[in-house]
Amino acid sequence: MDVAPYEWPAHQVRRALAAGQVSARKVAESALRRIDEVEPAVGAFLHLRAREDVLADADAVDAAIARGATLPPLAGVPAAIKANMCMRGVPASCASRVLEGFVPPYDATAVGRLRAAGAVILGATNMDEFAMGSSTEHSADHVTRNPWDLGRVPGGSSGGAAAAVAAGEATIALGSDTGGSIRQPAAFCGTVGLKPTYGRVSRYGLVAFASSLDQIGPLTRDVRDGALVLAAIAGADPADATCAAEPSPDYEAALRRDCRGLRAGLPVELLGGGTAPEVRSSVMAAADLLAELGAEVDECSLPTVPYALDAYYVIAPAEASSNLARYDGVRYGRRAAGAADYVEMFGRTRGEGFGPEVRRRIMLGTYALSAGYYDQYYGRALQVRTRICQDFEAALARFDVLVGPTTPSPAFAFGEKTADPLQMYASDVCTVAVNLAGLPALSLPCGFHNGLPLGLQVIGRAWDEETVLRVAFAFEQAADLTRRRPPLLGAGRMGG
Amino acid sequence: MPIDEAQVRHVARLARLAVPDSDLARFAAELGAILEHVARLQELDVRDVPPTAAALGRPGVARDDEPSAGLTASEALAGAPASAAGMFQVPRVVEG
Repeated sequence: MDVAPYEWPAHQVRRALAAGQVSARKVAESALRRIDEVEPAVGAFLHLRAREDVLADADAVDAAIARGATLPPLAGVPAAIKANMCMRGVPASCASRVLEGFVPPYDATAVGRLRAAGAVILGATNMDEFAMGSSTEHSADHVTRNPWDLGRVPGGSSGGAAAAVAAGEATIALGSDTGGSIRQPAAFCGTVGLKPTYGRVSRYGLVAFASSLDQIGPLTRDVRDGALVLAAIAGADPADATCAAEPSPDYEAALRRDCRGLRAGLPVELLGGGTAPEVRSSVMAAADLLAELGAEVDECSLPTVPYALDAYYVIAPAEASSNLARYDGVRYGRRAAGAADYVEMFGRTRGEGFGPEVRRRIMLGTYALSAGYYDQYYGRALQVRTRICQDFEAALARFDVLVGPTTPSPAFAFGEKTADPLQMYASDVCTVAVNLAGLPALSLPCGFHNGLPLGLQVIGRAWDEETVLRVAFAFEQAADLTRRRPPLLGAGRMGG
Repeated sequence: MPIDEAQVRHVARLARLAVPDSDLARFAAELGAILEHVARLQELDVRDVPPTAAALGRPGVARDDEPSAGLTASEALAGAPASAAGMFQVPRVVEG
């Protein structure tokens, strides 16, 4: 069967290039053609780089191959970047009107490392404004559609990144995850999504939302690609004081086809009453498969995790209200016209520039930090955060990984949760606790329901992405689900 | 409701966010509903539990104290809505 290069995982691109079976230009052309075909329906991108610039990058890879240079690990791999990461010369609007026209003068560290690893960057992907949302419906620009069902959301906030990878437009993508924004769209779009340990990947050049929670990570077709991309972007960075000095191991070497000698915990709180029956049965079947692969699987408890959503929706808005103070119409982006003084200019710039969800969170966070309420809300949430961290510590002393659903339900329809912010927030119920504890976690497909993908979440100990990747890889190889592609426009059978 | 329109107006001023009077009631209702939800945090006993502002308790990693190139003034000003004489331009701040 002739599968076009746009459908290949990154490790296949690397192999084919090394064997001289394809050129980087052919791979890039295949991705660009795929974008021409499906982007009008999917809407994954906010900004596409000029075709000739993309092809010039691919030609540079081919020239290096012709010179006999050693191929970097992601040579010629078409990549998409969430629009909250800075790329020199490419607009990074964060899907917000307040950053209209902002073109960064520098590369985020993760983007620079991806380029250095040979990736060919296609453009910036759609997202919920400033990464605040779970459906990409809060983009000020346009909606992104789920490639598995164009009537449904791709998840969020990295919805464009997940949709681009699922639709075959990009081979790999970088997203950011503050409360589930990589894992939840990965689950909804049937891709692999990895949130690394807090501090594993530099946040330099990532537009800050909640600095104690934000982390950049890969969205990929399969687990091996996740390991490859993490290896390319991880590691200390003098430009980010929260980026750890921990050495980055060879993640690909951690991949094995069994789970022998590993203990996997199944936290009962992640399968609570709000979980859809199809999600529950799919996760239980996944746990059985892990046991067949040699893992010791047992139930466990994270008693404070049912309060994680409440703690998160105090802490994240509090940090956001502080971080987003920088959008004042002075240094970049939009400025409201005709203001009489600077106070009016700040207020109107921000009132006109921010969308409803961002305004809501700034207000919420400002309130939670304000005199008289700080202890009741923010202080309290930080204490609950400690208890959540302790829950995970105790569980991960007994188990090597914890497994559960990534989301309580498969992808929902447009408009289903936009009227009630609390309903939208509830779709993060399985993911936010992991960010509060700073742990690594990965989502990968574990089943389908009515044609929609379901995600299995694998949570690991801090700095132990290797075990997370190993469990995910063993499951992926045995379950054989990640090769399934959305029916969108006859994916995979379109020729070169 | 835990928050009324006067408080919304006060918070909006703190946040330097222009909120039209016509939006005050909606903000009060939405923020009130969220605050009522997160009030669940009061159910937990957290006496003597220290706060966690950043997980994993890592100290910051300092880089070597060596000068390196940054953005040039013209690069830094390139995205500014208004600039003059190599500086960001803003509405008058002081009288006179």
